[in-house]
Amino acid sequence: MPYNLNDVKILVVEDMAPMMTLMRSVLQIFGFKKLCSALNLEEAYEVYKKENPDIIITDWLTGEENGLKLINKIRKDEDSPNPYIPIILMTGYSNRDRVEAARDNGMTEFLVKPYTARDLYNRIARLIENPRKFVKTSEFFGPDRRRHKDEGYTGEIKRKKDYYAEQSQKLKDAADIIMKDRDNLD
Amino acid sequence: MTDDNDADKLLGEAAEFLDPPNFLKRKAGSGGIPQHLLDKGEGFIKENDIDFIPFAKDHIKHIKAYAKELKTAKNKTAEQQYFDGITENVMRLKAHGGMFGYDIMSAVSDITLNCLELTKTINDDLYQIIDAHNNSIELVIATKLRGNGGDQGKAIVNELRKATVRYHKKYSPTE
Repeated sequence: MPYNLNDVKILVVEDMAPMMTLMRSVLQIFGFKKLCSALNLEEAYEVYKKENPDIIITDWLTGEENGLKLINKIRKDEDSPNPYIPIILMTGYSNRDRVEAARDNGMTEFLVKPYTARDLYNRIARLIENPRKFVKTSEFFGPDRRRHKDEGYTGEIKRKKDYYAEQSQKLKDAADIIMKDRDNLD
Repeated sequence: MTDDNDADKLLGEAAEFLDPPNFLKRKAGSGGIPQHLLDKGEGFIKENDIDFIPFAKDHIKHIKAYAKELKTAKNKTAEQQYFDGITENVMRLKAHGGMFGYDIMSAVSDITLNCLELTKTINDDLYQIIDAHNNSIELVIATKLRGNGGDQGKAIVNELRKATVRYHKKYSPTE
C-alpha cells in the first residue's frame, strides 16, 4: 500500500508564480489533494494560522521578509498553531553558511534548487519516516540540529543523492583538476 | 552539512529534548509514493513548457544594474546592498534555469554563485567574472541552448570555471 496523502495538507510558499505552478502540479501528481499557497511571508503566516497544514514547503524568498523569518515566526510566536510543523526550505543557495543559518532558524529539511521530483519526494519521505526530535534551549527552539549517524547517511552522502548537487560536485572536481594543472592555464 | 560539535555548542547546557507526536505518519501511513508517480512527476518537470527566457533576461538586467551601482557605491552599506542584489539574481538564475529546461543556465550561475559567496574582494577582476557570467547567459538566451547545452554548453561552463579558478587563485591562494 502506498502513502495515503489525501488528508495531508501542504502549504507552499513561493514568490515566483511559474515555480509555484510547477511545485503544486508535482505535489498533485504525488497524490496530495489539500494544497494551499502563499506568495510572501505575511500571507504565508496568515494562511498557516488559518489552514493549520501538516507540512510547509517554503522558498528562501527575497529581502528582509524572507523564509528564515517565516520559519522563526512559526517556531517562536505565541499565536503559532503548531510550532513543531515540519518545514522544508528550498533555495538556490547551498553554501555552508546559508544552510547553517536555515538550520539555526528551525528548518527541518533543506532542498536545493533546481531539484528533481525525486529530490522533493526524498525530503517529504524523510519528514514522514524520520521525524526529528525538537530541542528547546534559552536561545533556540526547533528540530535537533545534529545529524545522527544511525540515520544511515551523512550530509555529504545525502547531497550526492541529489542530481544537481552531484552535477555541481562534478564541476567542483573538474576545478580541482584545473587547479592542479596550473602551469597549463593561460 | 551539520557539524555535530558546532551544534552541541549551540545547544548550550540546559537543552530540553522533545519528541512531538508524528501526526504526519499517522495520516500518510507507509509504503512511499509509487515509482510511476515519481516518474510522472519527473517527466512533468522535464517537459513543462513554461518560458523562462523573459525571467532570465530580467535577472541579467538587474545584475547589470546592480553591478553599475556597485562600482560607484558611496559606502560599505550601499556596497553590500548592491553586491547582495547581484548574488540574489545569480542565485535565482541558478535555482530556476534548470527547472525550466535550461540546465546550462543553472550550471553557469552555480559557478558564479560559488565565486560570489566565497569572495572577499570586489574589484575589476570580479566585475570581469560577472560580465563573463552575463555574456554566457545571454549567449544561452540568444541561441536557446536548452538542456546541458552539449559541447557548446560544456565549453561555456569550462571557460567560466577557469576564470573563477584563476580569480580565487589570485585572491585566495590558500583555498
